[in-house]
Amino acid sequence: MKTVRIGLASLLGLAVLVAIWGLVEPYTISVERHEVPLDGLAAAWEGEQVAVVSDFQIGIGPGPSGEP
Amino acid sequence: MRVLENEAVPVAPSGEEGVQNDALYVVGIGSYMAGKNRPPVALEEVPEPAARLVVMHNPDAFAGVPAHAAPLAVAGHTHGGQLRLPYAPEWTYLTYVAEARIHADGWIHDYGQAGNRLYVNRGIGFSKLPLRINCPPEITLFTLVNARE
Repeated sequence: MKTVRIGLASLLGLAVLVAIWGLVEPYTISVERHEVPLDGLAAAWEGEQVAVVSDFQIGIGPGPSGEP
Repeated sequence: MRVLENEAVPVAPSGEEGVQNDALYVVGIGSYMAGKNRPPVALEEVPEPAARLVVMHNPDAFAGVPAHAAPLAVAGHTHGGQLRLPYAPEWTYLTYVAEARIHADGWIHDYGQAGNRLYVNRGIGFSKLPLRINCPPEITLFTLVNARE
């Protein structure tokens, strides 16, 4: 019985730790870098970087278009 | 901020004024969920040889992009699944819902028309639960190079 209690308490502790981390991770932004070959790219664009930032989730619920 | 709904705009390289032949076209596809995605309309004004970046919210819209029209396309929407198991990057709850016909983030292989490539960004927000596990928010930086070099 003691072993079961210890096991359940450990699982609960682990779940709490994962949940706490889950609240922190949204604020650890990762920057992913990729080199992309493009046909027809002008020399003036060579080496330029484009940043993609999406899904700000500003506001609550879907926008007028229905997209969340 | 200008919203591109089935339209394209030429962007001049930094340091140049006005749009010349060396423009990069940014193409915005309309909302898929609202039934307003019209990729052919969005691409109408892009000259055939011009470099372009095709942007959409929902990756499902990518299937309707004509072949060889989007060598670089970017979508979001999935949040990467938000909750993922360590060491199992292919697993997310999205795997088990109807919409999840494709992977949740990164380069998507074997999807869409020939000659097109899609990258799905995990986004920086979250929906429903304010949680992310093993799926950090993402900003993607693409470095552009000429394919013929």
